[in-house]
Amino acid sequence: MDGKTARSLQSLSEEVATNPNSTAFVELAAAYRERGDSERALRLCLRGLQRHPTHVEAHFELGLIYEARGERELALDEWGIVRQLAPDHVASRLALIRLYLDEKRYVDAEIELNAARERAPADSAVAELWQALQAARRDAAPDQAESAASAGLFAALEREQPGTLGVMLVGGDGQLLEGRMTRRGVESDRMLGVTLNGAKSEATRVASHLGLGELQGIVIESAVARLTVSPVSDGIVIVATRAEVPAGQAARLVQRARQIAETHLGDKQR
Amino acid sequence: MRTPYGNLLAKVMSAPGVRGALVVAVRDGLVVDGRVHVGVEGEAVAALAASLYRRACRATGAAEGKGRFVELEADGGRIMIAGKNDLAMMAVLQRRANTGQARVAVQRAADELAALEGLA
Repeated sequence: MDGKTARSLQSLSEEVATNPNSTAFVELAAAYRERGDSERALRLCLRGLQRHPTHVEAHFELGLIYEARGERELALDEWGIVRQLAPDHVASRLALIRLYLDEKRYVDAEIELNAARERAPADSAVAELWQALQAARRDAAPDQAESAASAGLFAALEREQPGTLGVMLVGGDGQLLEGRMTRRGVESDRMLGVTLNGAKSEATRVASHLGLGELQGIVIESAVARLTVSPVSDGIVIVATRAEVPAGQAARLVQRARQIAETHLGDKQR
Repeated sequence: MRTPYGNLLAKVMSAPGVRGALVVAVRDGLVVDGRVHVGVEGEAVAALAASLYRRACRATGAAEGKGRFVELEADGGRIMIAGKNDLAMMAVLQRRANTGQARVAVQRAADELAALEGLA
């Protein structure tokens, strides 16, 4: 949908107006987006998707509109839907990769790039993005080494508590301050920290809006692991345990990790 | 209007301290069915909590059809969300609710919800 639209706005508008079932709304929305009218593009696309909820190009276009509006999370949602509806839709994977690279989410970018290379091995855009990923990783290497040096704050706690998968302290700006979590490396830990810091901000807003008072924490459980996000004075502590660790035991671990983090942050301030 | 979710909602509401139970479409945060006490803004809970749930699932790399349980704990109460796909069960708890009992009720209801939707 990038580039000049083939048909005129007037012709597309007429078709959409006269035939509500037409899928020309996608092209029309793209035209509005390219002219900078993302508000009208968004309305058109959302309305069109009510009639055509599985229209792949409409979801892709909606992602581009959200991206143009700076609503990246929503853009990711839409391109994620495209990926589910049409796994071979390379354009949506390229859009995802660009966004991941922009956000320095190199592990996610690599996963998408590998999928894109399988589907479109001769695509020059895929090759360019692969080179961009390699270059970005080279540039980021010194920062990664610096972060990796500070994994020891929670090491004793992790050893003491069986079933602990990792503990991290993330600053208020989303920067990984201490600890480690995943075996995929520092970059993956960083991204987890940034994303969960965003989740904590969102949870704070939810709690406040619903009159629930101050946020105490978020627990996210899957079949294999439990992740607890707890606010501390200037950041969050993230604790991951295996799912089979009893909830009460995990809660005690979280409490101790918070104490360690608060002491560490207090020492730093002094 | 009667929906197939009445029994599930009633079971969640029967846990001590639960002030609201909602079946919510995760993708858009809209209420599919729900029971709430006076003072609980069901639509707002659904919209805000669904967004948080989506973000939490993304952060932890949840794949389609994989179950997730998300709990928001605050000074004045809790919100629990459990689901396997596009529909999730949510519960709003007062501060002194029996958390363990509510958690079991929400997770069981989410399993039954998935079964109703043919996903279990």
